[in-house]
Amino acid sequence: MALWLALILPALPLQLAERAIDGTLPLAIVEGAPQRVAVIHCNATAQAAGVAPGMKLAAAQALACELIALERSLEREQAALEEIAGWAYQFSSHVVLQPDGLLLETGSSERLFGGRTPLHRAITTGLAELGYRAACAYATAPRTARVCALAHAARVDVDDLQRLPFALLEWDAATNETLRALGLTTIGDLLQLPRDAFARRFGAERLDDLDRVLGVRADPQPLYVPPARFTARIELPADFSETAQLMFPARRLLASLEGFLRGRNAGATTLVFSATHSERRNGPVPPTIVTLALAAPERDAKRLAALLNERLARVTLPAPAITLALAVDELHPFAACNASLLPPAQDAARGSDWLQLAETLHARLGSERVFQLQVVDDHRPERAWRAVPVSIDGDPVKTPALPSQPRPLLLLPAPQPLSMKNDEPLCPDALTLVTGPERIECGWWDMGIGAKAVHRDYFVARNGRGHWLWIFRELAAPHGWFLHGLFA
Amino acid sequence: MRAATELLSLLQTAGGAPLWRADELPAEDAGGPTLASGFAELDRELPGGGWPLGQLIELLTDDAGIGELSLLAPSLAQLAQSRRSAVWVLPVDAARATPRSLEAQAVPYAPALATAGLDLARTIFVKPATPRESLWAVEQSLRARHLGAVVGWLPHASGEGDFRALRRLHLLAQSHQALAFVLRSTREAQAPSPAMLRLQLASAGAQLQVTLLKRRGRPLLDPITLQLRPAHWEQARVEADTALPRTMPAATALLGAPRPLDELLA
Repeated sequence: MALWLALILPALPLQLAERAIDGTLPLAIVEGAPQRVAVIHCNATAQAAGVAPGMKLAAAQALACELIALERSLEREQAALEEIAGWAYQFSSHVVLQPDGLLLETGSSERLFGGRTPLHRAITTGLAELGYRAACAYATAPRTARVCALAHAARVDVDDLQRLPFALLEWDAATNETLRALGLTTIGDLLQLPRDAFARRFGAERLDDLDRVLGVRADPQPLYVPPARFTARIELPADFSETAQLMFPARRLLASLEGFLRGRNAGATTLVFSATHSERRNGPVPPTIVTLALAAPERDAKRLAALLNERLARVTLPAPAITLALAVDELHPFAACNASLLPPAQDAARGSDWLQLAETLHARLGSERVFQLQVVDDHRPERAWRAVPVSIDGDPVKTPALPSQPRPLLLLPAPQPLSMKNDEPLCPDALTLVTGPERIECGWWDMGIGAKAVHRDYFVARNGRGHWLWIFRELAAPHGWFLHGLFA
Repeated sequence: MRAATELLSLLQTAGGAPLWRADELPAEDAGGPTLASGFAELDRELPGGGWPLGQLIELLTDDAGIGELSLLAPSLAQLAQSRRSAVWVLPVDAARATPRSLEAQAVPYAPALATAGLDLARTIFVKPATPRESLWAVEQSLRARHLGAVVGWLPHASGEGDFRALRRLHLLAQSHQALAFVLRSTREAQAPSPAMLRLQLASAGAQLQVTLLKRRGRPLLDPITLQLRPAHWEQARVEADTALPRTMPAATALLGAPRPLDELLA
C-alpha cells in the first residue's frame, strides 16, 4: 500500500543559516526593498533578545547588537531542497520536490529498512544530521500527507481531517476570504456543501483538490530525478578563519553526500571541497581547494570526516571563509565491506583496515612521507630498490631475484667517503674487513640518464664500536673508500 | 629457610596445588600470547618465551645501527609468513637538525629486508617530519585492527608529556595482538615507562649485548649476548690489497689483439 510522507521545512532560510554553525548566535533572515528591509525569520537567541518577525532590520539590530542578518535567497533554498531530495532518494525512489518541502513514498520501501518505525527514525535522525528540522506526517495520499504535516498532525483519519481548518489547503487568499464570509471554518464544512454548487462557485479544480485531500481522486506526482554528480554548498553565516571550524559544516556536507551516494548505490573516490573567502580585508582571494583522494570508493560520512580532519591539518586559510562547497564529479560502483562473522581472516591484513590506515597516514603526512619499498632488479645497490606510493590492489609485485651476497638493512642515500690513515679506511676508528670483495660493476650499456658508472669492490667491515658496515673501494683511480650501508 | 624448603617439598609431594615460586618466570599463559624472537638465548629470558603481543616493547639504544633491525627481523619475518602487515615509523627527518647523523639519513634497504623474509608489499614506511608526527603515526598504526607490527623510532621523546603519550600507545597496543616496538634513547633508561618490557642494546665486541631493564617477573641482572651476524664472520679476515687488482682488465686482454678485417674474412 502506498504511504506518503510529507516533509515540510518551516523557516527553511533560517535553517540554512543555522546548519552551518555549531553555537547559538542571534540570526535573522531579512527580506524586502533596500529601504524597507524586514525580519521574516529569526532564531531563538534573537527572539530572546526581543527580535520578532515583521520587525524592521534597524530595530532588530538595535535590540540585538550581535545580530547576523542574512538576506533570503530563493535559489539557495531551491538548491537546498534539491540536496535534501538527493539525500532522501536513499529511502524511496518516489521523491517529489515541493516549494517548501518534500514528499516521499515510503510504503514500498519500509520492509527494506525493517519496518515503518525504523525507517521513520532513520529519516528524522538523518535530517537532523544534515542540520534540518521538518514537520512530517504520513498519509495514504500525497495531498493528505501535506495537509496533515501543515497541521502538525502526525497521522489523522478522515474524521480528524474534517476538523482541520480549510486554511491548510493553501488556497489563495481571495477564496479563503469568501469561504470565511460564508461562515465556513473547517474542511468538514466544505464537504457539507453540495458538490455541483461548490464546483460552479469556486471552480472544478478546487473540488478536485478537495477530492485529492480526501484521497478519493488519483494524484500523480512529478518525480524527482537525482543528478549525475553531487554538489552541495553551505553559506557560513559567520567568518570562519580556522580550518578546524570548517569541520562542522563539512560534516553536514558529508552526511548529505553519504545519503546521495546510498541512493545511487555508489561511492566516491575524489571529493573536492572548496571554500570561498571574504573579500573585505585584502581584496579578492582565490578559493581554497582541498581535494580528498581515496584509494577505493567510500561513502561513510564518519570515515570521510576523519580523513578530512587529518587533511585540513595541512591547510591554512588565506582569509576567512564564507562558503564551503563539496563536489563529487564521478560516482563509482560501491561494494560495501561486509563485517566478517569469522575471526579476522589472515588476508584481512590487506583489507579495509590496511586501506584506512594508509589513507589516514596519507591524508595527514602527504604522499612523499608515506611509502612502500620495492626491490628492483638491478645489480647496482643504489638502484636495487625504490619507494612507491602505498599500493591498493592485493597483488604483490613479483619480487626479482635477491642478491646472494650479504646486503645491509640500512642503506645510505649517497655513499659517504671515508677518511684514511696509512692507506687504511677509518669509520670512525680502524676497520676490520670481514668478507669480500664482492665486485659490482656496470657496463656502459647500463648507464641510463644521470647514472654514474659503478666499478666497486664491496666489503663487510667491522669497526671498534660494534658496527658492521658495508663499505666499498672504487676500482677506478683514486681508489677511494666509501661507506654505503649498515648491517643494523 | 629450612622450614620453607620443607614446606616446598611437602607441597610438591602433595601435588595438585599449582605453585609459583618468585624466582620463576610467570607461566606461559599468564601474560598473553608471545611471538618467538628467533634468538634462543633471548626467548629463554623473555616471559612467555618471546616478544609479548599486544604490549609496548621499548628498545633503548643511542648507537643506531648496532643491530637493532637484525634483532627485530626474525619476528617481523614470522608475521610476514602469516600475511600480517606492518608499519615502520622511521626516525624523524631531521633536515633542519645539524649535524645530520648518518643513521638518520639511512633508509631501510629493500633487498636486505626481502632477504630477511619481510613482506614489503604489506609494509608501510612513514617518514615523519616532527616528533609529534612520529607519535601520531605510531598511534594511528596501533589503532588499525589487523596490523601485525609497528616499529617506531621515538628518539625525541622525553619528559612528563611523553609518559602520557607512551601510556596511550601502551593502552592502544593492548587492544590488538600486534607487536609494538618503540626505539628510544638510552637517556630514558631511568625514566618511568608504561612498557612492560624494556631492553637496552649495546655492542659487545662483535655481538649485541641486550640488558633487560624491565620484564614481568624476576628481574634479570646479567645482560644477554646475542649473535646477530653469521658465525663465520666472527673470525673471517680479508686483506683489501690482495683482493684488488689495481687496474681494470683491458678489453683487449679478454678478446685478444684486434686483427685486420681481411684476415678474419680470409
